[in-house]
Amino acid sequence: MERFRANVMLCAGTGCVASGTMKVKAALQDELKKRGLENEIKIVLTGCNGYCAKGPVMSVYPDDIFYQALTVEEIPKLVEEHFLKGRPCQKLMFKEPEEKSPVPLMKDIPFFKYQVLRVLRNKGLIDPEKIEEYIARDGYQAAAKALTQMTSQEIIQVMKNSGIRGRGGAGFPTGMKWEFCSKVPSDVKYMLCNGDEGDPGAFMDRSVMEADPHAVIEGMIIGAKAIGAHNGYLYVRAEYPLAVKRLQLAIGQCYEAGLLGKNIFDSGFDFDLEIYQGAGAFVCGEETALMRSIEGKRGMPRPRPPFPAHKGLWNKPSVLNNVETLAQVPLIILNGADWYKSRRMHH
Amino acid sequence: MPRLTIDDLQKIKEKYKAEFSLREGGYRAKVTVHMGTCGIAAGARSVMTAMMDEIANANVKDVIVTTSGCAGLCAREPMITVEIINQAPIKYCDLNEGKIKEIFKEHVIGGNPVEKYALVAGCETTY
Repeated sequence: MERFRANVMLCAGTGCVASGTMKVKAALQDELKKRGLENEIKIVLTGCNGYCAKGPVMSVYPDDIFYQALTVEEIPKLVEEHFLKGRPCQKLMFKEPEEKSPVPLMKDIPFFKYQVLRVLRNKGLIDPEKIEEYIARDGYQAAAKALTQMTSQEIIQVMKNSGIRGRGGAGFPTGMKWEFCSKVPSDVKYMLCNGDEGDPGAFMDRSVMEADPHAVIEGMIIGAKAIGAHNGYLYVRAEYPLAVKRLQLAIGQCYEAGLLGKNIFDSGFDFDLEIYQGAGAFVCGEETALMRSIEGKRGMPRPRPPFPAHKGLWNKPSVLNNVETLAQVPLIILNGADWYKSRRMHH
Repeated sequence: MPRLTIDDLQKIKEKYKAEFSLREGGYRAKVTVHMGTCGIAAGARSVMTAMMDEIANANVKDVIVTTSGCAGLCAREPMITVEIINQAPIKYCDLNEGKIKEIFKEHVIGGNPVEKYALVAGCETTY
């Protein structure tokens, strides 16, 4: 494997792409080549870093230097000064309003400093289009554990003990939702993910899907095992083309690696997953409307009961979880219920 | 990619360890090559390449190489600073590729500073 002395993590979330990431990337590539540094400095495109207002942004490791508001014009100087001569470029660093001196390190910038990253544990640290990088950060270890060492009841018990509640906003206890569905006998059940983030100005699910698509898929695999589902849909709004693209790539990689499909990890468990794109109706973020939409009908909510755990998609028992909820599932399975409980807010 | 087994997950993680120790900061030693104009003119690029090659050939995954500017002693370039985490950084001067091999083996891997090439203990910050 090639060895690089630095990794440049260039943000390629929707915000930064819109403000010019791809042009900056091309300029960086050209300049590194010109300086003969292309085998020493590696450019990695990441998901949303979170600091979209000053995009395109990038962080340079191992130095941990954070650059913002990059432009094509600045790249030649940046490459010469920082990557060749080891003098980070102050002009492109973060500055506090009213302060003169820049803050060079990402870990010292107030916006990042107080963040404790769990659901966004891989944002900006991995290339979301490479399954190996997710695996390098303990990806699919939780799915392996859940599929080969745990029963459905054990998974549900961990989820219940952890106290996790739906992160979509309604806050229904996830473990309980899974338990209801697991108890309904049926040959066909569905594990569903709600990526129809419709609230204006809300982008937390998009960030997760763009930056760490495999975390969502892994959460769905574990959920599917818990409820006994062998089919799933990721319902993602079509207005998130980058999220759709990265999830689609991730699903393809999973099929190739045997992490979706038949007999995952030789556990005898099968799970098939596909994306269904929403067509831009706010109401389809509501669970019963979302299921109707997947059925090809007009996305109208219907009264409950019956609840989806009994009659959901195509009237089969179904569980629908939010993106952020699912992305936490691998963490809970790996680190245990007490770990999660010790970190949650008290209700 | 072939079907993955649980063992493969660990193998992939191991394979990417060097890259992620860069990103996550879990490295054991840091080698800083001084790459000011003076350093480059005196041969810092080949010194750095030599160090990178040593690391790659030994397949060591917990050592990083970084660069910094002129340390102010242009006459003694090329210079590097070797810092084993939690030990005093050591600055080496008047280097060439042969000395790099020795420093890599003795100090970076062995943990014992090579006194005959060392200039001083201590280092400026790298930003």
